Amino acid sequence: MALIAMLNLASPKQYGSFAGTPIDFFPFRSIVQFLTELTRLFQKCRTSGSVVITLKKYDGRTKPTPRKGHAESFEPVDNKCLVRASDGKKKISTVVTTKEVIKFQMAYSNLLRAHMDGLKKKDKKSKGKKTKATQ
Amino acid sequence: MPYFQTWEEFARAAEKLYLTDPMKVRVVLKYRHCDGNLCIKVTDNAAVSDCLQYKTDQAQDVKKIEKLHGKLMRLMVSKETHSGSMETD
Repeated sequence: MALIAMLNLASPKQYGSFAGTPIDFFPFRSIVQFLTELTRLFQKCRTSGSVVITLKKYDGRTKPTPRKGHAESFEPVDNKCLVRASDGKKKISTVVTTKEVIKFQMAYSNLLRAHMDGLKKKDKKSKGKKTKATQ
Repeated sequence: MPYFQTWEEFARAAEKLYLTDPMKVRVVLKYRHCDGNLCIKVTDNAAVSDCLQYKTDQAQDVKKIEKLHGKLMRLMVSKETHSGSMETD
């Protein structure tokens, strides 16, 4: 009986969740790995499906939020965020810190612009947007 | 859960919501290439009225959405706690 009680305490049910799923379920990839796999997700979903990207501030906790009455021996950090991506089946995630944010953002914004190209282009009035300037 | 009609209104409301409670707010981006649309949602899970959404099928909005995404990301990793006033680069 004591063993079962121990197992219950150790289960990740109250781990806290990121967008509904337990945090410990997904090992965090490095930002490079994440970006590579995000590219693949976009490529896979070109013919059907959607790519969902979620962004959330992260305080670095790796243990479950303690229940009421228990002391929280955890120092939250202020400089991280969680980025997660999914195509409905495969899920990837990474943690970005202040030091990596510039690098990540540059690559990430290039990635988004390169792959989110299926939207309607506004070319009714191509005043200043087009590169062909007739002067 | 209403969709905003203009990008400017959405962006303002999204930043404001984030600054009210940075730890609670999440930003969700959903792109469907086959349908040619992009949807961005910012929510703090508190109430139905605090779920802000913007949908578009225009290529010109991709840059705006990506910029807002980047701005919120930078806010999340910065150590300073802003309380209302934003720096404009």
